[in-house]
Amino acid sequence: MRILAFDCAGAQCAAAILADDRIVAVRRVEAARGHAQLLIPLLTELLAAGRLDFGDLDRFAVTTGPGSFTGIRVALATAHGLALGTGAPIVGVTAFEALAAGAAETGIAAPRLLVAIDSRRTELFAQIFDSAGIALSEPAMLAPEAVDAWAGPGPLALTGDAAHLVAPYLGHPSDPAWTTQADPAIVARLAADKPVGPPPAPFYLRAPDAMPARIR
Amino acid sequence: MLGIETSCDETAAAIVDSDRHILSNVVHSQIAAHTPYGGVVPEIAARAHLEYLDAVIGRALTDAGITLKDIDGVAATGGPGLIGGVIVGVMTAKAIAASAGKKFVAVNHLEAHALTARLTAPAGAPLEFPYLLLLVSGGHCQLLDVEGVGRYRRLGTTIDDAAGEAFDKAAAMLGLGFPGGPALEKAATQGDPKRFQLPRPMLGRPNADFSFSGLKTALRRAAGATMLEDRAKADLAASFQAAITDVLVDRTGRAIDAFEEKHGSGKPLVLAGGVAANKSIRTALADLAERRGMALAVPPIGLCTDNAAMVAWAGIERLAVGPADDLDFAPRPRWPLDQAAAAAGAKA
Repeated sequence: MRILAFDCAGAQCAAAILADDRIVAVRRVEAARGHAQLLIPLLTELLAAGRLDFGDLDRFAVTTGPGSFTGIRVALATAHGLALGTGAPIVGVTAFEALAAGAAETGIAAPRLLVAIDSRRTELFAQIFDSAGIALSEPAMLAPEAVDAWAGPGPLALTGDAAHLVAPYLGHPSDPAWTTQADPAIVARLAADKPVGPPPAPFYLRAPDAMPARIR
Repeated sequence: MLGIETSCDETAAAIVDSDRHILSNVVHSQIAAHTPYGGVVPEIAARAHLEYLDAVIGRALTDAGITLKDIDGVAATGGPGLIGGVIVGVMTAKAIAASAGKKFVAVNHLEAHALTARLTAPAGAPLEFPYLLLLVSGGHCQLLDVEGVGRYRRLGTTIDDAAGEAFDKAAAMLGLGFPGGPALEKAATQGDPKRFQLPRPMLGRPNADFSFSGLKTALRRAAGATMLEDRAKADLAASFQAAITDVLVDRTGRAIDAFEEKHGSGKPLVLAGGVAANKSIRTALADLAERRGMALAVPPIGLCTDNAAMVAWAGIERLAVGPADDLDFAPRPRWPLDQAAAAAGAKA
């Protein structure tokens, strides 16, 4: 099976190709914005490096969020277009799942892992996993100071781009080794193990700010 | 050509061929989702575009009786507009183009409106360049000298609100609902346009620019703070519509002067944009065109409001004179047409 996985939910534009259980090519570009410009050339370059065409792929894997609303839509709209263009299905992986699996692969130094993702508001997005990367809580949006009570007693390892925001409230030292972005290779592997269902929905986890636009 | 339009609150896809046949034209309106807020909410619009675009494209292909194999290119609105929505359309289009080996064209939304009348002109009477275009919608109010594909000279624009935006705000003030254009026009049919003396901003100025914010303020003052009776509402709506119509006619007259200085008389006048649906405005512009010896062309109303057939057609027109766009195209929240002309000139 050949999978093209990509992630634009955070401050990167990243993609990987998994072919027959091997990662054959990876590209990661740090980018807080500009995903709409970067992504397609990055994917074509990646395929060229893997000596593959879009038509050779069996599925597309994409991080559905939470994270940047725009980044989520860049990735999902691209996945929709690729699925229309090739007929291959789309499999979604949440940013929580990708970050937890990444942490589980390198080893988690506590029975539980808190994945904390920046919401660009005062609250952050959070979900708790066990040391194997299995979810123990529902995803939630809450203030950094509320995480301790929400998570309950017991030690927690941290990961994600909002880990540094919640660390002071959990008595953790700030750890520069925290992974802040999903690894596209891990997104591809997770997607390989998932069944193909209906096309994945974006995982915003926060309602829209509802103010009418002024268009010019 | 597959066309995709997602720059405001219509999710649209269409198939058009180079012989000017509209094989399908699907528009999914989001109005119901935005009505509670009295205007288009960008994040709600962006979410809805992502949710519906796939199905809208699928329907456009089915209606046309073709598959993606049968198309040569994908044209998407690349701006100007609400950027979250534009991104959804552009990324979907670029991904289809990349994965199915099609040409990609990023279309300027204003250019699509500007060229629509060439798509809809009668078979025996094609619309030739140059022509004068009055583009009036919820987001835009411009007078353009359309000299050719990619060659536009802006003769006038609004210095504050677009005409359709003024209609929306006026309708909201009078409690007539959203979208305001149709609601206000309906109320105006029962009203006396002479009862309230509202100002005609910019009237008689030598340039062809518009301004509607003073008119809006005057309406608010005339409406007062109390609950209006239906009679007063209808009269205010009629007076407001008459004022806007007078301004559009006067400003278009000025633009005709400037247009004729360069191109001579007897060229066509084209009206486009959602406000073209307003009968009083259409009638007044038809009178103006007749007085000035111009033929007035107005595309069918369904192609004056936002749609993807116009985007597909603009893509066809663009590919007829130049290359496709690169897949690193960045969606543009702002994209003045004169700049498009400059870019096209640089490419040629």
